[in-house]
Amino acid sequence: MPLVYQGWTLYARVVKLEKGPTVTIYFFAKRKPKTGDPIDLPPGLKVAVNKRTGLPFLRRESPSDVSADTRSTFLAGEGQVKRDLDEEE
Amino acid sequence: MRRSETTSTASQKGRLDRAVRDLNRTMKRALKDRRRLFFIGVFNIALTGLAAVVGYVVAGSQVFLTALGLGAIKDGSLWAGISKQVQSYLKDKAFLAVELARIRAVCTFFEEGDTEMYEQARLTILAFYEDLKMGHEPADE
Repeated sequence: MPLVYQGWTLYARVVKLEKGPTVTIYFFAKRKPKTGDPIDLPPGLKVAVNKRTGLPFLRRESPSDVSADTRSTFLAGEGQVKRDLDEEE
Repeated sequence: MRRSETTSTASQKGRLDRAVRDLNRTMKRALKDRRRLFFIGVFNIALTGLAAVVGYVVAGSQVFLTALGLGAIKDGSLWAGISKQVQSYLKDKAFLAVELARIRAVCTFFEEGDTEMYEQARLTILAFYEDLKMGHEPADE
């Protein structure tokens, strides 16, 4: 049964990137998108809600086993990416 | 400074592209040193093999065996030193390749004027950071 969270339905879409692998993307939508199938919550993921916009999105249930070096390098650049997206910190 | 809530779709596309570019740049920076170690390890083995073959052609089997024996000691000790770093490089690279491909895919599917999809793409990127933070903290809730 597809996951519906506060009026938002979870959809999955398989995407083949031009330069890269085939991946499955998940997104919530209120109206039926052009492509994508409604799905149940995938294993290992949970629903979270963005505090600012109130929109649901998927997060991991448990931490990834990425190394501490990589983690800290990415977190050091988080501010820049948030500025790119114009997200208030 | 207050963020403007009304943004043009063109700038939304630009924002996503910029964010993806920064993520790719960060991935390269995060893996750069360990990537170098990985290639040092691989090239050393390749050059040891080449030296043994050249030794065999030029001077016969004894030189071949000597080159292989010394090469095994040299490369073995080298790999003993770098194996943990190389393993973490391969693991992180595999993880980031999939995660960033997923982010790229979501951003690729963002169409001009689709505010809902823009928000989903934006949240996918932010969720990636939240998930990384989760590994830093004992409890995420």
